[in-house]
Amino acid sequence: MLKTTRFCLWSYRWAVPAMMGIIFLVMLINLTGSRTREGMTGYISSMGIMYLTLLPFLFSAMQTPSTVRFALTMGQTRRRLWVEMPCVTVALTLFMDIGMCAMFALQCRIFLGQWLPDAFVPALLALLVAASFSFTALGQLLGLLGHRFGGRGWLGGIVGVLALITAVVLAFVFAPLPVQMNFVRLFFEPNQTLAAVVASALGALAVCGAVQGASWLLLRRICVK
Amino acid sequence: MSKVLSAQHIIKNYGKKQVLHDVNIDIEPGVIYGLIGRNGAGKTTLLSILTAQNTWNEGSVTYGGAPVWENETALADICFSRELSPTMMFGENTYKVRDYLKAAATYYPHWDSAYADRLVQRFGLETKKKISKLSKGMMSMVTIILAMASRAPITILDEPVAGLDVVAREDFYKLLLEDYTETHRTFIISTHIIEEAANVFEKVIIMKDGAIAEVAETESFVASFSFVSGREEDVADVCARLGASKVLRTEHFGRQTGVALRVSPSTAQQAAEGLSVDISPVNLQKAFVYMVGEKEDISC
Repeated sequence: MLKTTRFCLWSYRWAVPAMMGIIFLVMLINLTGSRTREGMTGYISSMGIMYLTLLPFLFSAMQTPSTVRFALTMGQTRRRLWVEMPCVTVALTLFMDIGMCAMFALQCRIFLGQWLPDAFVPALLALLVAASFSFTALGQLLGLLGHRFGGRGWLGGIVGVLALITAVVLAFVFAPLPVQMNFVRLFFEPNQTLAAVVASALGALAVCGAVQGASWLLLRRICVK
Repeated sequence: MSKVLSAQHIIKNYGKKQVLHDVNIDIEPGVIYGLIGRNGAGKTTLLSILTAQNTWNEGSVTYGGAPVWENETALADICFSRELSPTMMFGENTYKVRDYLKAAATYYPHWDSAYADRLVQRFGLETKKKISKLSKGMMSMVTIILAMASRAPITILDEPVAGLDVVAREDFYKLLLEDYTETHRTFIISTHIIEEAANVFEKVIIMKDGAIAEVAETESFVASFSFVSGREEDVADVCARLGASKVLRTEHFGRQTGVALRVSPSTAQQAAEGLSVDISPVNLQKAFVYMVGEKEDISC
């Protein structure tokens, strides 16, 4: 059961903590300068946002071709692999998110004297966690494209993901003001937390579902030459 | 153990180039096969298709009558231990030997960990080393351990002795025969080092230019070739009596001429009655070279 998921988690059991450690050290060095408390909060938060989205994406994209090759050469069917893909996504994202959140809290404790920043918004954290799942799934898709089509796949995938992100940002920027305000209210008003969490979860599910559908198109004829 | 792995009318194209042309083969249970062919003959492509790791354009691959493609039951019985490439910077090469073997233990349902450990000891392999840091010979040992410890009823090894020194190669063939005596499972071994393995192969599959040129018992295959040498006129007489279609290659050494023939030494002997020629049997390597090599006259 879940051979590929177990294999993935076990394979990267040191790689993920090592990445977290490196990020921790980089942030530590950057934060030891003469920063104001507000500056520190802003820096830790922005780094947290970046690493919760960029890191899962890159890591997922890099590990997917290896995982697929390994599973296929060791007698797994493509269908079995496809079925396990969401489990791999969830397991790796949770692994990275737990590490990232722990690191974030530790940085806050060291530099701000408290485990969470003053302006901590739970709904925003939910959005970021949902984004990390979405980006891991997108990374998986990019990795599959790379494995299937080589250089053209990697390039096309990166362009596609960048286009997708740009489209989402532009859609928000050019949305009517009431829509923008509703969105801001959803994530920043304390009494809307549950709705924000549900909206984030649904958004992540939609992305992961779309990726899973596209993954089958790529996986069903994928091969190891 | 009594299931036949069968490929029928397999055609495989890479882009516009056809690399396998109507390949038909039945892999019988309990036989050690040697798969031999020149570089680019399509050996690895065929093996990856037999194990459903690669796609094909036409034809079918079955195991015990059921399609191999996306068949978990069939794939659980097959292990294709691929050649590890020293230049690859991702995938298997990023793993330590012990991690690679542990991963194999997760995937292969018949995996024998104790046997894998014994083989690691036997080969003196450093399991803490990354695969990319191993020598070519050590990489071959890893693929051998993977194949043997998988205990798969159909075990396929692609170039298992590449890079191994002569002692290690001897040890591998010994190991193979020990395992075969014990388990009687099917082995398909693709190799370029033919002569050493000739005594191990029960059957040989000869591939040429993307097609199966011949599948035969090794002994009878080798016995169907002979080499006749002597004065040019005498050798020409022998060839004329046997027919030009039997001549595979002509070689000239000074005033002497030699021809490789696709007839047994005893048949050649009968044809050479009253002529002054020498007739000798050939080994598997020579038989293979005569069969797939250049046909024209060679002067030495």
